[in-house]
Amino acid sequence: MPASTRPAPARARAGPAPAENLDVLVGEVRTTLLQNSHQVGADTVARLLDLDPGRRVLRATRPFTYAVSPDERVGVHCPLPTGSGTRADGVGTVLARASVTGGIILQASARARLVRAAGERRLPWSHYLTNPGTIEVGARCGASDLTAGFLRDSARSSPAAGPAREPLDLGAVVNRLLNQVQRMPYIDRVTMLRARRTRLRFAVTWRSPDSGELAESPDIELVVHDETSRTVRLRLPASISDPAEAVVACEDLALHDWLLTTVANLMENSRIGVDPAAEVVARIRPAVDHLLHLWMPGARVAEDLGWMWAALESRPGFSRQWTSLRGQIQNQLLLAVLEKPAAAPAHGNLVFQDGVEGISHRA
Amino acid sequence: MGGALTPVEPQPSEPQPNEPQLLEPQLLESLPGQPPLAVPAAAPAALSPRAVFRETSAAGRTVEVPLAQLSVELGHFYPEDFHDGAGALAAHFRRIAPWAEHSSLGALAGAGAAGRPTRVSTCLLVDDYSEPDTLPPPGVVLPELIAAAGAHGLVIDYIARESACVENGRVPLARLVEKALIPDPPYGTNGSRPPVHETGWLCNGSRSASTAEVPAMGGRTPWHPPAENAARRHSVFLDAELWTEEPGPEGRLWSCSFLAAVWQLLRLGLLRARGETVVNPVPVDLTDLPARWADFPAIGRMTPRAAPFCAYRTFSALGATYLPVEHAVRVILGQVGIDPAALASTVRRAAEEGLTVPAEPADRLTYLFLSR
Repeated sequence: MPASTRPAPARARAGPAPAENLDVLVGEVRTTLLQNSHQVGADTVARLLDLDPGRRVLRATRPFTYAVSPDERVGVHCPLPTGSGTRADGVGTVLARASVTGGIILQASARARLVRAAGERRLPWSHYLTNPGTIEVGARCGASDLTAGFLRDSARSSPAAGPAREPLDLGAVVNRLLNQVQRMPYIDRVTMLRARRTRLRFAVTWRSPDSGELAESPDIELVVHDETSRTVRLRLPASISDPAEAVVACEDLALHDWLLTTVANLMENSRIGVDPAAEVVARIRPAVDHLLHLWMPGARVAEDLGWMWAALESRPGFSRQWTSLRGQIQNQLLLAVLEKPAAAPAHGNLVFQDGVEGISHRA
Repeated sequence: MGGALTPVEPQPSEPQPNEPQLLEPQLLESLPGQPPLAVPAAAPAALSPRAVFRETSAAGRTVEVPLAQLSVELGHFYPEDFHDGAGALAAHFRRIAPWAEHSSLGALAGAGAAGRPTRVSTCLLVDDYSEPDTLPPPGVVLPELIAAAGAHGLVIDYIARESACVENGRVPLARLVEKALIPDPPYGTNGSRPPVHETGWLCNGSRSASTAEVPAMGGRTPWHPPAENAARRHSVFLDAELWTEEPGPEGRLWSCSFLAAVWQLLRLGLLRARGETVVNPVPVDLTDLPARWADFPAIGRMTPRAAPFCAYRTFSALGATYLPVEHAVRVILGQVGIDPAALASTVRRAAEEGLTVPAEPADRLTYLFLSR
């Protein structure tokens, strides 16, 4: 065992080396539209999310309807991605859940807390089941290395790795859950508007005096990689110890980012200024009907994480963009009213009944 | 499960229905569809009015169950055990009687050397499932059992029927436990595929190469041995059959091993259906026993002042022929995801009584295997 020059508190424990303490929460949220021709009611939502006969779907109605499935537990034993390429194996369980917001937005998230394994040996599986949602990491790599590896945009490490070397794939767990819900018989699988499945990966660490984390490193780093992929790096004060709160905050962020992305895309593809306003309105109507009222950033987020939204509101200013989109929609509605007599004096409502490409809307 | 936001680690305390949970209103929240009046900022707590808001349906809830310190199983009886006359039953109880003395149960209950457990309940299981037609009715079986046990100073507190481990009248327990299985992942399980498992089987490692997958042409793939996960150098590989699909109205026939695992979980008080208990012993009137086992309660309470059916630990006195079954039980129990709140509550409540209870369910089981 290498001699350590600094006093190492971890020495007291039976372990191979005075490795630094490890506590990283990693996760992934995917957000999409529930494949149904209209918003679904609370009872249908509860049936969609009833994935385990032993446990309950939890439901809330304020400030919007929201329901979440019980946690699915998935066993893993595989390499973990690292920024440096150091080999790090993890064994434990991932927790995954699906949720429906406003009867229309479907999300699934998977998460695991990475902690240091007590020893080199893999323990009996029952040991890992007593602490669901925890992956024990055998190697001595640090939190920043694991975080960097996990947040790296490319989902796969090297294709030559071979099946046994494929790293932890939370995205697959999440996708499977989304597909499971979308395939349920209680929905009609009619798409009401074009919406992409967005993906937000997150990694959370807790600041502690001995973690070696730079004090000036940002509390939250949100990176938009492309049209659908985002990463969030959170550094929380040690006082916010409940990882569940951080997961909710990331789900909330993913939901609002999806709303922005979806409505902005819709506006972009609605030929504003090209086609008559009434036609534009017909295209954007699903957003007016089903999405606009769901914008409530931070509403489900614990009070002590409220600063997350405050920080993101100053830069890049999510609500600013949302307000601007709403203004644009309102202007189109106004224009449609103003243009109506000239365009179709007798049958002003006709436009709402026209089938418009990409939109199938049943009232 | 904890609140709507299930903690990644089990909480040390039992979640209560009125546990504060996710929906703390943001007082500055704007109306739906309106731009926010202000973002939920971390206002100084002393200056802002504080509100508490909760919705019952949004909070997870796991009920507590009454717990004895030790659940002693006095036997597991097949139909043929009742065909050999009262003598065979008496012989069984005579042999286990010395092991079921209260004075010898202290160490088993985790009470330390000097401790004497104060709450011990006894139970036994009658197999009315595998060959229901050959089992004599409750009116014959129960008096025989009680008399044979009583002759050796043993009191039977609870009698359960095995079919209740499949479905207890309200909850399909076997399906529920099967759904809670989280198979032991061999190396390379990264979440990208659903867990590989042979339908209806559960093992403690990686199976050997399947002979059925030998390519039709070309060389034989070399045999490789099965391997136990987390083995100590050499493997003791076990593959347990959980059920078979039978033709006819019964459909799925659950294996004795799987039902025995459900039985142990019931005795450990670790099963919940949507947070509610699945153990509801019903007092049995010995003078008015039903003619059919189907009309007998899932778990019948035979003595009025019995200690609770569920317990921190279990002790089972069984014939040695049950050894492989119980090995399978331990393999299954090691792969059942237990409601974390239920699991944590047993540890906490035992600690409050000065008892130690292992975190893992399979470690709470003690056996006595009797030779023939």
